[in-house]
Amino acid sequence: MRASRAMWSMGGMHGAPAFTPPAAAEGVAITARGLAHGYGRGARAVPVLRGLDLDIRAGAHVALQGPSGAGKSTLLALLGGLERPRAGELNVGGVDLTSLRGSRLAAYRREVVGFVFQHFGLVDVLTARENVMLAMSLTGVTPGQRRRRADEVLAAVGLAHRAGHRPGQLSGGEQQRVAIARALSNRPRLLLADEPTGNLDDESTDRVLALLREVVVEHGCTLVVVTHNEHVASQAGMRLHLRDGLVRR
Amino acid sequence: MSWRDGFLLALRSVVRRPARTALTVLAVALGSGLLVALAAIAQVADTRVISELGKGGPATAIKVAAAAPDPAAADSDNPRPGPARNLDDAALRSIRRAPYVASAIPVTTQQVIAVPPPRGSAITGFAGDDPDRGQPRPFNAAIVGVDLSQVHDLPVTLLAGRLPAAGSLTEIAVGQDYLDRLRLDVKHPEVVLATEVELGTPQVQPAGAIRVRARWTRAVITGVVAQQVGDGTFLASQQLVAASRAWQLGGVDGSSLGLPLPSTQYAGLVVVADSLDDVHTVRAEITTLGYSTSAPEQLIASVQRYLHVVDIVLGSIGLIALTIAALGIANALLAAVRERRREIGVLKAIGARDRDVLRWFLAEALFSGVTGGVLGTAAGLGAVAVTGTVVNDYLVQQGLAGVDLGGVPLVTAAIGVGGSALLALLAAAWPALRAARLPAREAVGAL
Repeated sequence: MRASRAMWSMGGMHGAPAFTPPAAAEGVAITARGLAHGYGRGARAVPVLRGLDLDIRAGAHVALQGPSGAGKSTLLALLGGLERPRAGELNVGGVDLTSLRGSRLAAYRREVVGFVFQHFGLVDVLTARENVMLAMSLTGVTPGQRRRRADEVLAAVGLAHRAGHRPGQLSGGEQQRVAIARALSNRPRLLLADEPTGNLDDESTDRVLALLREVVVEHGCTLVVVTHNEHVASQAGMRLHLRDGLVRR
Repeated sequence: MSWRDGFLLALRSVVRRPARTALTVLAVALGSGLLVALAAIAQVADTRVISELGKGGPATAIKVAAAAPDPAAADSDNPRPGPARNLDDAALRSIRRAPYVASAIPVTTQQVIAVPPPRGSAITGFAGDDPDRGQPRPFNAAIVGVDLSQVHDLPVTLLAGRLPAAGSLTEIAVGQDYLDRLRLDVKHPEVVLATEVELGTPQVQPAGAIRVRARWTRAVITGVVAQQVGDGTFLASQQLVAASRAWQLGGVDGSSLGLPLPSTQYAGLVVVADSLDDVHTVRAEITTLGYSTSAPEQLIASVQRYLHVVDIVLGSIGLIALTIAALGIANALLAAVRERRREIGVLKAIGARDRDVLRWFLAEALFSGVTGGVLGTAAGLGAVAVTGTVVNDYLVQQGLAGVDLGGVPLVTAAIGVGGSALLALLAAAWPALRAARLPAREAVGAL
């Protein structure tokens, strides 16, 4: 994390407020107050989150549930730094995400967040190992270290023997495990998973769930999972139901 | 992401759509190939035309006559010379010291009686033109002597064979009028090569029964040339002419017999200016020194203007081709951006900055540009070689000197590749910026 801290500190030299990374080497706590977000402007504005309040402790395993359009994906996008909230406060690990933009927001995604997508999001022309190394190439890890660490995380998700295969040669479950390995490669402190088992069969689902539980325990990161699956949600220590842009406990 | 990582990712990406990549590279190759071929051909054509105006010598060559200048026609390309004036070593030194003079080569001439074969040796197809004896008729001619080691600076075009060795006293080249005199086909000048010709230099005796004696030299014809160095059927080394001249000067003036002694040390000079732009200045300086000059100065300037127009037209055609190639690159990249919105989004979601995405797409464009540029330039130079061979054959068939195609400059090839790469980057700028500026959320799609 030393390198990442140096990068965060450099962010303050370019005029924008300096950002101090979360101090603990573990998961991040999340707090939101009056968080509001939507799409479109003026008469076409579609509000999605309507003043949402949220408290998630560091290292928690949270399941986000709710009907389509409730704002789950939008909340995940805000937590992941893919967008900036239109109103309210969103604090991750003591950092106000509303104050970050541009390259500092990208650095936040790089250094703090790990994403796991329903569609896996693997680059199909790269092998499993190269997909994992791609994430590390963004953080300035040397090529030798990238390869070593990629092999380590692939071994950790049980895919050491598939490191040289491309996504098209892997099953859905294997692809999702590669995606998890990629998300873990930069040692994230907040792991965001969007329907991680949505495209998987039962056996693969169980395997991926076990892996995510292990991530929380071994890596100590905070895990937020968006899911419609009750079985997946039941694994979480905290379940949040979103409806009409607000949390209903 | 470093440029290296960007290139590696780009290399993997281009194989995703091999047909599209191949077509894009082909478009660039066609554009750059056409531009390189046109540029090289235009360059060779320019050189050829200018060289032709310089009659085989450098276009910057100025002929200096052993005569005073005619003030009324000093600015024309071919002024009528004024009264004869001795052109000697002192004048040569003065001209060599003049500004912008690259070199000054003296030209000597010597009147001789030439006796062609079969007295020397047989020529295929020539049966002799003396009806009485079946022998060729001797004829009066002149030998032009120059320093043959500097022949590249002289208006001499080799049509067949080779030039005499520098300093040789037994080798000689002949002009096309020699073939005419022997009623030989000028399209086949090679028939006179390796034959011999006898050259007699007259020496007028001061008194006695024999008024004129001759010094005979038997010379081998090594080549056939078109030359504008001086008036004469034969081209030989300075040494051969000097020996003949010394013999004639050993006698007395024979003006009454039509054999006057030479009135000037050198029959003329060929002065080469540093560049075409300096020709006028050098001519003016030589005129100031008191000698008449001629050079196709104004003709070359006019032709250069026309050639410039041709260059612009050819260059425009090439640029249009390259522009079409650039549009091809832009179109292919835009399609790639559309196809990879989610991929770009994922890359941004895992921390890529705008510049990382920019590098990825620019590297991809650079791949197409450089690959297409290399292939196109190679193909273009190949086309130049083929065209040159065809043109060469035609020129030789027409009895003209061929073109030298070995001189396509490396810079043309470098511009072909470098220009394609630069154009690819320019064409890719907008699509790559568009990709880089895709919002992470929009690119990822519905989360």
